Formats: sequence, C-alpha cells, structure tokens
Amino acid sequence: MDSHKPLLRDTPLDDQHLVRYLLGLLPPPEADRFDELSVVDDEVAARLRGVEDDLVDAYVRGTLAIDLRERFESHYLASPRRRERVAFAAAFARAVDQAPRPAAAPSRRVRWMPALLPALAVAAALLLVASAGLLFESVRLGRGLSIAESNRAALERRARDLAQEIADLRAANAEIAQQLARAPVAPAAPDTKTIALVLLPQTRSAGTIPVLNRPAASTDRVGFELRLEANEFERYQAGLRDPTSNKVVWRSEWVAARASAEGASVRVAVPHALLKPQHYTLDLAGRTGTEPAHVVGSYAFEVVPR
Amino acid sequence: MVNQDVVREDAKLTPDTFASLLAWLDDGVDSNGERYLDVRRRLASYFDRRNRPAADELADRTLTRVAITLAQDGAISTRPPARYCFAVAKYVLLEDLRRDRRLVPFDESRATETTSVPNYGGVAAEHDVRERRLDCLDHCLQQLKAEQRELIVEYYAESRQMKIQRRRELAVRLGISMNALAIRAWRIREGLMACVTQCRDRR
Repeated sequence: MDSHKPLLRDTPLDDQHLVRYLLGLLPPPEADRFDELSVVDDEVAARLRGVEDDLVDAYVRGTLAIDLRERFESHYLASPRRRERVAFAAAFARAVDQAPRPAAAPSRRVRWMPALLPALAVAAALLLVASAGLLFESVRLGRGLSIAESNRAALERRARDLAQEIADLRAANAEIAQQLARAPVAPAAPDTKTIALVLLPQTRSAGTIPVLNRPAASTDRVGFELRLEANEFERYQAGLRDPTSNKVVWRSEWVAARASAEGASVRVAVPHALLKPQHYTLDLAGRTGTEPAHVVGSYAFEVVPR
Repeated sequence: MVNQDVVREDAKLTPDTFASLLAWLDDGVDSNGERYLDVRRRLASYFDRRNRPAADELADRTLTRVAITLAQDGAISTRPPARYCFAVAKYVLLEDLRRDRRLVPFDESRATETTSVPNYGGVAAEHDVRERRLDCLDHCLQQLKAEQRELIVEYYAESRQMKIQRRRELAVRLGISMNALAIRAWRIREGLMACVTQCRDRR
C-alpha cells in the first residue's frame, strides 16, 4: 500500500503527537490529516490504538500528567463510547496489576545432568504457562523437579493472591459504595475560611444569578461555598469558566466535601486577580478513587464592581 | 471519486453485495472478514473522535454505501480501499452534522467540553454496573488461553519507565517483532472488551 506513504512521511508519528491528536490538541488541518491516516494507514491505525490504550491505562492508574489529565477529562471523556472504554480499562488494569507477573524462563543450567536438560526445559515452559494460568485458578505444583521446587513458594503465594483477586475487586467496589454512603468530610482548607459567596445547585428554571461584590484588591483569594444536591463522590474539583471565551481559566485542587447543617458543600478559594466584573460559572466535577471524573453541576454568578 | 448522489443513497445490503464488499476490502488477500472488521472499527473510532453519538451506526452506513457503489459500478479503483471508505465517511459525517443541527440546535463546542452528567440517585445502579462488569471480566478472562493471559499481564502491567523494555523483552522471548506483539496484545484486549460488553448486555 505505497499510495499512502507520502502522507505518512511528512507527519510526525511519535507517541506524544498521537496523544495530542487523541486529546484534540492538534491544529485542525493536522487533526484532519490524522483522521484520514487513522482510517487509511495501517501503521498509523495500529500505533494509534496502542497509544490510546496506554493513554487510557495511564489515566485510570492516575499516572497521567496533570495537564494531560485535565484535557483527558474535558475532551476524551466527552464521548460515551470512550467513557465505556475507560470503565473497562479501570477494571482491566486493576486485574492485570494485581496478577502475578509470569516467571521468566529459568536460565540456570544443570551441567552435571545433561540428560535432564530437555525435561527441565519442558518444566520451565510449563511453569510459564502455569503462572499465567494462576490469574484465576489455584495451581499446585507438587512435582519434584528442582526448578519447580525453587519456584514453588512464590507460585503458591501468587496462587493465593490470584484466588482472591475477583473477591478483592468486589470488596473494593463495595467499599466505594460504602464510602459514598458515609460521605466523608474533610477539614476546611485554610484559605477558604472566609466565604464570600454561597452558591446553590442550579435548578432547571432560570433564577436570579447570585452577585458577588468584587472584594478589595488586598484580598488574595475569594472563597466560594458550592452546595451539593448529593454528596456522591470522594473528592471534587471546581473549574472557573469564563463564558466569554468558554475556557476554564482556573481549577481548584481535588477536595472532599464538608458537611454542615445546610447539607454537604465544597469550598474553594479562587484567586482574586482572575475575577473581573462579568459573569462566570464554577463547573464542579467529582470523582471517587481512580474512577473517571463526572460533572456534578455548574454554578453561575456575576461579579460586580464594589 | 465520491459524489454526493452516491453517498445519499441508503439501502440494505444483500448477501452478494456484502460478499463483494468483503472481497474488495481484502484487496486480493483473503482475511476471513478481518479486514472488514478492522476498517469498520477505524471508521467508528473516526466518527467517535468527531463526537458523533452514533459512531457505529455511521460506520455501518458508510460501508453500506461503499458496498452499493461497488455493486452498481462493478469496481472501485481507489487504492487502498480504506481511502475510498474514508472519503465516503467524510460525507456521512457532514450529513450527520447537518441532521443534528436541523433537529437539535446546540452549541457543539460547549458540548464537546463537557464530561458525563451524573445520574443523581443512580449510585446503586452504577454500583450494579461495576459489579456486572467485574463478573463479566472474570468470566471472559477465564475464556482466554493461559498464554494469552500471560501475554496481557506482561504487556499491560504497570511499570512506567520499564514498560518499553519489558515489552521488548517479551517480543524477543516470543520471537516476534514489537509491532506484532502490540497487535497481538491489542487483539486480546479488544476481544476481552467485546466479550465483557456482550456478557454485560446479556445479563
């Protein structure tokens, strides 16, 4: 299939470039070209799917760089199909990470027993297969070849781990559900003690937009309390969106909700310098463990001059 | 090569036109339908990256139109066949975008920036979904051969910087290239995901 080679040659194909494509960070002409290559070019298609799986795995394992993670959440997770991929990856990565790594083929040579070498090679191969099989089965190695003997303890330990694997996953799942029910409460962050504005969850009907009198310039940060309809996640992150550019101009740390008589809420402190006299929204996302983030709600407010 | 008159036609595939499509996509190398599945998956991913909600349906629509053109004209000279499919897919995408605008006016740029909306009170349901997924993953992993399990554990296990080295060693041990290893691992993973999806939908 030489006809598509020229397209490929003038296009960078390193993994970082493919990640940028998957996260919608390439300029449109380049993204268009990758669109075509992703369908037409076998090499690009193969590389892309490998890079995509690694990207998703990095996200569910929490090893993605912060800037990529934010982009991943705002762009990649916008698609239900891709969210399904991420949900699968979360379970898959956990199963893979908890599984024992297959033992490498033993390199030890028994020089004084050359007649046994073929049998030992077979035993080594069997060990490789057996250790993989331990993902979901208890395998007992009771036979007395010396190589098997030296690996028995490790294999039995792995076997115990593996026999519990699915049970552990279920237990973790149940724990997450319990954590949601318990609604963990975190102490207030030091810089959110003074709340300038309490924002309620937006209802379907359009109401009056809360107004914030722009605090004095000496104020470093402006505290907001975002009331929750339901405290469903372990941690929350607020993003300040400027409606004029539709860009998120600031994000908070991931913080736990607080409980009060009025119900659960999230407190964040927005840098004063970012707030100009105009409308804003605070977009709140929630997540539990390494699960993908979900949009919890959007809180609109208006900043007016003092 | 592609015109809008062609791509606007919608019709059902007959067994003969479908067989012709498979043969044309194979381009002289019999793949037992693998090539069709591969192209269809690439098209669906393309539509999905363009944020089309019915990506699979659009991929099917694209291939149906290609098949009908093939049946009507007797041949399509564009090579590779996937290039022609992509050209048709672009029209299908434009049509879908236009249809969307007619039905539901919305700010697409805003829509693409949002993540999933939580289903309030749906925690129990989500918990059930996760449980079913784990049950199905358990079931599907057991369907794999031992060497397939070994391969995916080695290939996909977390180890950050060591990942490339570990994969290289695995390729050497299996006596295959890194590309062949990547394809093999990906096929097992995709098969597993398809198995989990089917299993979950059945329950």
